[in-house]
Amino acid sequence: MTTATAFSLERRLFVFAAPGAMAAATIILLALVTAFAGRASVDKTVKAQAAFAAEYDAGLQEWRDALAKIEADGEAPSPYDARPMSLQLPAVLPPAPLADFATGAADLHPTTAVISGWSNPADLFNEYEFDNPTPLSIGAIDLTFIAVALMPLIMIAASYDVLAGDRERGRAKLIALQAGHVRSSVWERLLIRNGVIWAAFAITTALVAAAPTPVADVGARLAHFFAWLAVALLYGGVWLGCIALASVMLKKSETVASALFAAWAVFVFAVPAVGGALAEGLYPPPSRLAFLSEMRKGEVAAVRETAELTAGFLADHPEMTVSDEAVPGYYASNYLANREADRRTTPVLDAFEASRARRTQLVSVLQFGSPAMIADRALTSIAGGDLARAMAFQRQARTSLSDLSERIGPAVVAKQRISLEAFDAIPRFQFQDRSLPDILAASAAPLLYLVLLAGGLIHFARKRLAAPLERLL
Amino acid sequence: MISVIAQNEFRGFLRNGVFLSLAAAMLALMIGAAALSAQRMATFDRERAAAEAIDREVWDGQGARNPHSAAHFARYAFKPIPRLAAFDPGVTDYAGLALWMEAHNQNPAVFRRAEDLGDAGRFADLSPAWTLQYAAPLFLFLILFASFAGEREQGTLRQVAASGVSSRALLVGKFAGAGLGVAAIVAPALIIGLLAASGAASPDASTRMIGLIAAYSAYFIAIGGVALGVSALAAEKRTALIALVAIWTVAFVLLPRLAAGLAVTLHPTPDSTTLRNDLSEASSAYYTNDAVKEQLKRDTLAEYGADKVEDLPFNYGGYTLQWSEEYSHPLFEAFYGELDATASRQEGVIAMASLVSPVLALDALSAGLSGTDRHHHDAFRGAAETHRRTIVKQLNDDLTNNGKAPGYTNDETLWREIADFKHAPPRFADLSGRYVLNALILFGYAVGGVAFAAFALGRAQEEIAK
Repeated sequence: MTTATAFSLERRLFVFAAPGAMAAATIILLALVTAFAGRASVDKTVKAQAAFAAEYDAGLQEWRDALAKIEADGEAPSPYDARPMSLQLPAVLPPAPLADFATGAADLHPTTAVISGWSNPADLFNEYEFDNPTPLSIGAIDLTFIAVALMPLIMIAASYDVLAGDRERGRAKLIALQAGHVRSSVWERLLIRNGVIWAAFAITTALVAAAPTPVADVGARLAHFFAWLAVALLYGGVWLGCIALASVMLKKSETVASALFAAWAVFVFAVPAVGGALAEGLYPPPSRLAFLSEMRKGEVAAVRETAELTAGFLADHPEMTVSDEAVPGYYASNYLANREADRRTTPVLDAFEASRARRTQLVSVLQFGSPAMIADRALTSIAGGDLARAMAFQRQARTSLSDLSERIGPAVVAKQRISLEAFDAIPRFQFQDRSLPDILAASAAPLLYLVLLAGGLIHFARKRLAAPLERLL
Repeated sequence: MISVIAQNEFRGFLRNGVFLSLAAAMLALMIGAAALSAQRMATFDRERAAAEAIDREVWDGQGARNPHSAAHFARYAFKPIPRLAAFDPGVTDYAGLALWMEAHNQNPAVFRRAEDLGDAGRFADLSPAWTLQYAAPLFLFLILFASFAGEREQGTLRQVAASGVSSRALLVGKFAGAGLGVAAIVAPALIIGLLAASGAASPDASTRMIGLIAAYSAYFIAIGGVALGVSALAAEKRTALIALVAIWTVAFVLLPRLAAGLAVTLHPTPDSTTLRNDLSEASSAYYTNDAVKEQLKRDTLAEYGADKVEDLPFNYGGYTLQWSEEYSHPLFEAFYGELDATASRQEGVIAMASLVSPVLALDALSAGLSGTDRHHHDAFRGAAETHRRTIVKQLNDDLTNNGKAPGYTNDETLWREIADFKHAPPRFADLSGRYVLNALILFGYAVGGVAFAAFALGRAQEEIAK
């Protein structure tokens, strides 16, 4: 059978027939609906973050103007004006260039924080847990989910009977009689069917990626998209290998379908579920409640040791008994309370980091048991929805808080203001995102494994296809 | 005749290697899920008990302080996790575990466990309920797809029909056989799951357990009916298999996520930054409204016939603190009321989707019966807010009545009077109205599943007769 004949057959059986049209339409529709939902979520975040940053930037400008006036006049109109404890720097985790392609952990973690002397690392992120837990627990659908979970199923449904169906209908013998072998016909037909499916997906996602976005510059977005698509196609290659191998090794079409579907269920659901559970069981996260207790113990200890009782009251309501001396006093006591809470909770935060690192390490090993897990982690990471990015933001915001705390600390405790020069030297928070090469380098080993796996499966299937016809048919 | 068919069907399962391996996998998954859930619950209980004890100790030991400073330091409410969460954790990992009962603020619950877990992806959360809701239907489809289609392919269905066996007897026999086969796996799994969750302190634990057994039974009847019906309609085994796998993929994998995504896209929850600002505005509503402050001062002075606040027989500062609290109460109610309304609209979309995805109806009902859904979480939030208002008033009243002298403080005597937060989860009967729709949908699925199987078998026999 020549390539032209194979294409002609597939044109009638799949490409321009109901199965192919249905598969392509399903993919396009799902991808578009999902992309729309992803874009709506990103737009909402971008808008809210812009308003947040603008509000705090205006506050900072006002603060600076007040300090400039105090330095110029030599006296403060109010004891509260331009106090270093009143500095509030906005910290924002901007949506990643391809944020609409993968939700990952992004819907669970904070994306903004206010860096201020009033906060300590333990309570820097607060009041962000407003989302309805019901849809959160069900999980989001995104383009990564479609690529990882649904595309293999559509591939299986479209291709499981390429050889077995022909065997059952007697068509395989006819082809073998004409061509002397079935190798090229099977390969070409598998490639045509899956090519149509992946072309529909690639074109739709490319259009989504190329559409105007408020997130990042088009160049960065497209670079991330091409990497994302390459990984998705590589993952598709693994499944192509699985389908080809099952098709040549198993005789009956229902056996081929059952085996492939069972493999899908194991790779997509069972291994991640068991892996996640195993990681949690072996390296459970430290108690958040114990963390809270340490923070509160630290606050109480600091208040008891450093603050006068009246200043303690003023800490909450300075407007009730205002005096120039009292205000800096309560600023200092709160500053010191946060330092104490910081000191006490740092080991707990470190324990969280350590247990998370151990879980991630275990999952990094377990992922080799599931191509779906590798693809999901790599695709989510390229799209910027991974846990590592959310954690990086939290770490950077805490570092920024620590830096601010160091800069204003002496002035706060000495009950003074900082200079305009010192204020201008305070760096504004800017999230340092990983570069695309860094992300790909972090996933290099599992991606190489996928390449080898896809290559190995395809090679083995081709070898089996070269077997004598009586064994194949 | 029915019992003969059922026995024959069941024996067939026991001789089937695929059935036995799938059954072993299901059981292993279930035992693993139950063990993990039981371990989690024990950890939850231990951590909560420790945190409650420390919160009391820290509160009592905070030293002499102005009562309003203490109200800002405040106490925490820790959410009790029902024992049945070991069976179905519901939204437990996605809703906060602790709530800060701070003066001026009705905070959301914090510390969502899902934030602390690793990055194995969120395709599956291993629990007994998840295993029964998602893995068990697939297991059923894989063992039942050949029930009729296989016999039809082998020609034995024609022989059975020719021997005069009625379609009703055949259906009931097949159903009973399949039921025995499924029960052999699912029933131990369900029992293991419920045992892991037993020892329930909840007064209506038995009602909830019976409800869970009924809900899951209806679910499996529906799934079994669909599997047998499709198998009876399909001309070939592979068609039945592909159709059932397609149904599972669409109804159990795709639709739940699509529905959840659609729900939040159609009815978005405002961004957390916006909500934080709104909450802050509600919290400081009194202090940012000079007209209201002035009016309160005028009215209070007039009521007590005083010229200035220092002449009042109580601490005006403490009085305004309590007044500002009460001024914010309706604003908090409106804030959380709007959030709840959005959540209900989102869940309405998911409920609509449950008309084509039975797992969504069961998911909602199972979490409700286990006491782990949003409604139970909201009951905790409501109870914590009631307690917050009580303790803040207690502290503000002390300041108002006793704090006339500057620098007033109180000590452990007052702190000890502040009660611990105790929350008994609502009785299922009190919330049952919220689950009627899901229960009806599930019941409809069970009836529909059996009717579909009967129709399909009747049609298959008609075709054979022709």
